[in-house]
Amino acid sequence: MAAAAAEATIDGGGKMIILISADGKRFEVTEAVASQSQLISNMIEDDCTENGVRLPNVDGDILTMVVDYCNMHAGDAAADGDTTKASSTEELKKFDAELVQALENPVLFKLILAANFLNIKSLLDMTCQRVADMMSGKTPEQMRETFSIENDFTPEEEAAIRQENAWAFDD
Amino acid sequence: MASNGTSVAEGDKANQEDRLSALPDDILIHILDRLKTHDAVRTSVLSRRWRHLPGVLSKIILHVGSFKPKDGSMLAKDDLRIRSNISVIEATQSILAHKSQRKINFLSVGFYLREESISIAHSINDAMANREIVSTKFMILPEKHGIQRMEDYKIICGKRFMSFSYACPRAFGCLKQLILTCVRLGNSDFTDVLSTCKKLEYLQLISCDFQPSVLQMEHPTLIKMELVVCTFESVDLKSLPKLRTLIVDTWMGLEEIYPLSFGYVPQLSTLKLTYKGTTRDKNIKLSEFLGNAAIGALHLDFECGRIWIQPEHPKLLAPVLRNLQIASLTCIHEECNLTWIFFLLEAAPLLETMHIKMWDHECKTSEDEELYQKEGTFIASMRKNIMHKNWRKDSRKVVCTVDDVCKPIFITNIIDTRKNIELQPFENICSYFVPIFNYVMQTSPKIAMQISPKTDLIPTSVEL
Repeated sequence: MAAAAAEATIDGGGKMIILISADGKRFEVTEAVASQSQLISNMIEDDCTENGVRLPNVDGDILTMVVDYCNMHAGDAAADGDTTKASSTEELKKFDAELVQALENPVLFKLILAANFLNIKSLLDMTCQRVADMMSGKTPEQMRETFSIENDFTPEEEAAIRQENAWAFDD
Repeated sequence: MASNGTSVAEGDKANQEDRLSALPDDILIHILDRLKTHDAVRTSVLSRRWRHLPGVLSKIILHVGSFKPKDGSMLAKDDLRIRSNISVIEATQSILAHKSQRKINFLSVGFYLREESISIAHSINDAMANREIVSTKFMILPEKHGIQRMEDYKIICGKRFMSFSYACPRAFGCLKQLILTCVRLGNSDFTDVLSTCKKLEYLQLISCDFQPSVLQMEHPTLIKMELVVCTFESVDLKSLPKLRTLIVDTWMGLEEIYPLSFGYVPQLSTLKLTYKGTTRDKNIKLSEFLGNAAIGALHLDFECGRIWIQPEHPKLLAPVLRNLQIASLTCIHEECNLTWIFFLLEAAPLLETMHIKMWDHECKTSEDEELYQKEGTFIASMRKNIMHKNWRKDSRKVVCTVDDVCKPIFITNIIDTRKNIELQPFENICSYFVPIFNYVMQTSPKIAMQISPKTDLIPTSVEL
């Protein structure tokens, strides 16, 4: 992580900005790290990050994860054709895999919302993929159980929907 | 992960909450688009929240192969196909019937070219009247197998395909990929269809033929084209400015020496030709054949061992092979020894990877003889691989492998060439491969080789 931050500094992202979570925790990150969030990147462009960026939708523990992720991925776009990139790509893959594996309800969904709000596409894709993997190949009953979804259909209504899309319930 | 620890502390109560359904529509669709379309549609019965989401999917893939009727095991194969095809038609109808205005990014439908399949065209065309579809893919399959020679059937299918294309001009306007199997079309009909496909990037024709039997290709966006067991007398790549890859699998040209001609194909870099040559065909001279195309990856498959290219002087070949980085020769007959292969190597200064698969090569070691006895029928199709990576003299890595049919396995793996030269002797090597190793040693004397008996070092074969 320290290496990634150093890399970002070299890359001209040296200016620091402060992110403030809903519960008042402060995170100091370089502009290069923060601008992986399209939301913050736009704010940097508009010069409105002077007094710190308040993120009323994101809790401190979730923002910790987001900042970790962004620190890790800061060198991602920057290091172009660098020979050191191969090893860091490996590291990144490992980091992402471990992060995503550890995610469970409810942190997973909080992180999805944060990634969506901050507009960090790679993090949103990764977390949504995790949910898709959890749903994949499951019957509706199994999906309801996994995600605690309450079935508010009457048996007749449910049967009618199944009938409507019979092809999807055939196998 | 510290934050994960705190989440566990929040306890089971938080876990019981349905946070998935609480996500906004956009995110849920983002998730559903990552599922197989079957799984995504099944979510419509989860709860009222999910009821209408499958109707607004932005990626829809419906392929007849993944529609298996419940009681399928009781049905004859033909009936099974008919049932599966009907399911695809119904699925397309029901999924496109939603009154959504939301854009569909990708719609892929694979179906059998039966009379009733025209309904798919109607559903798509109707949907596109009030809903944008960015790109489509059609995989059009024959309902019966082994019908390559049923001329009448091909004509019927040709007519069905034309009706299909007329029924959904909107879908063809945004067609990105087309796989068309087993049809006979009028030459000008195909040209007409092609001209409506303004976004086509990938075209695969399988067992197709045209009347007259000439395929003349002009298309502004096509990137990859594959012709598989098609019986064209000639294929003229007249103007394909974006074409990068051409694969002709079992090229059927007979009378003409060069039934394939390269016109304006400035970006063509990968060419794969599989040809079952017959003795009455003449041999091809690559220098004449390739013309202006400067291929980067050339794959030649001689299928039944008959060699249909002719060795040429490197000076003649050098202009057409000046960009060649990957060469792959499959089913080279054992009699075409390695000195024969070198004409190619010497003409290509940038060659990095050479992949050779032998046809029916027998390796004379005692262990192999045992293997032959055990798997008698397997011998005829037994092939050998040799791989050379980074053939260039300044290369840092060379890997030569012989696949695991030929035992013992030899993998030579180059140690860092910048260090001292290190040579390890080849032991028990199949005599066929000795010249090629010697060649590496002569041209790249600084290369150090290491022999390892471990199979896990075998690089995966070159994807062309």
